[in-house]
Amino acid sequence: MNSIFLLAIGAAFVNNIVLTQFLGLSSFFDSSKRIRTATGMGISVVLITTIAAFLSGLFYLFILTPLHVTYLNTLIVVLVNIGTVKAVCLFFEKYLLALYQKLESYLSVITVNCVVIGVAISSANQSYSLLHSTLYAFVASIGFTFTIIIFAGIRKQIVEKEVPESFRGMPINLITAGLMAISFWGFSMLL
Amino acid sequence: MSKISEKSIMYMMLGLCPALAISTTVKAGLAIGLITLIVIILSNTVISLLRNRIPEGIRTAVFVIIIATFVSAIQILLECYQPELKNELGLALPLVVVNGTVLGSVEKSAYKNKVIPAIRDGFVMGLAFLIVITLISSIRELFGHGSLYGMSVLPSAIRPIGITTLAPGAFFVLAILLALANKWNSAVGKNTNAEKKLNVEKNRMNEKEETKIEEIKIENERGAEADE
Repeated sequence: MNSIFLLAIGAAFVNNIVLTQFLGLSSFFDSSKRIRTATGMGISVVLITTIAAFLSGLFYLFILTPLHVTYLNTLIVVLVNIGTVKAVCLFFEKYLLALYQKLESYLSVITVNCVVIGVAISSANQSYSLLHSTLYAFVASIGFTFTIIIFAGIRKQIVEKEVPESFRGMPINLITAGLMAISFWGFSMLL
Repeated sequence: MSKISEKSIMYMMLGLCPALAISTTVKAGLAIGLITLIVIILSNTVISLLRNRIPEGIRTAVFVIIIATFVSAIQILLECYQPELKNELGLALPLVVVNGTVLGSVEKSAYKNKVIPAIRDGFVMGLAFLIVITLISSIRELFGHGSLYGMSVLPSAIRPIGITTLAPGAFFVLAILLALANKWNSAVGKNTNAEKKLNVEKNRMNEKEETKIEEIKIENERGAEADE
């Protein structure tokens, strides 16, 4: 139980997906204009990452490794991701239409998101068991959601007029993210 | 002197995503930039040759299969001949598959053009990416370790700024570079003659409008006085 807690803290905060490992930056900046958008993106990422990591883990452990073709992992992970997004879209469209309408735009963007693929490949590289990699994916994506919501909240407070002209738009967002990264770096002392 | 267009900045931003993590040394930055360039050129060639055969609905999946083939091939080559470099590049190497620059180049150029234009466009985008990532990693290595490509450049008396090599440093370096690009764009915009003429005309129109508004105000006041 202790090690699961440590894993959770480590994945969500210390090795934060966005601020330490730099994955998912494009969706991070695109989806953090409003807190509602950020929450929607976060939920979609959690859903897709967990399912995709589970399926990629299945492929890696039970098909690629026994056949000694682990070099195909990169390809398999991305294809599994695309398939997962399509399958989740179809499933939602049929049974959970209201939810689908809310998450539709986010789900299409996650098709080539670095978060999902990065998590799946790093689980394979570190030879996690199936349960471990699914848990890692779940907690890492929750860390991503947490970060993106905080960032959206901070971004609301930035008054464009008080920012020097060259820094308006992307640069000030990057500096904000950098300051957040510094504070998250402080978490590395937790472990 | 021309503006750095917003579109190219956007493509660059999409592509920098995972490469920022490992761009702490010039060697790693140069490596990932060269690999991205090679992958762009190769996949642009293949996809441009196949562009009439790829069905619209599964476009992304097909692109990804082709790009991932080349990336996996490069992964295996690196593992054989340069394993330390592969360890240094870490997760960024497989993530070249979903690099925004690669996918952007494929979608915008290779899917729609013949082979030679596609290769040319791909080369240009890849080269731009290479330059940007090498620039970022040289700044980070210079300020972080005081060296470039492993060779010490700054005298040892100057203490390096450690944060540039850490995660937050990448954000700050990128922010400063983008701010410089914005400054360049606005400076270039102000100096061109066409913009100057536009500004002069705008000022004239503003003055005319202001005088008109003032006249209307004065008339209103007179009218109000007359009513009283």
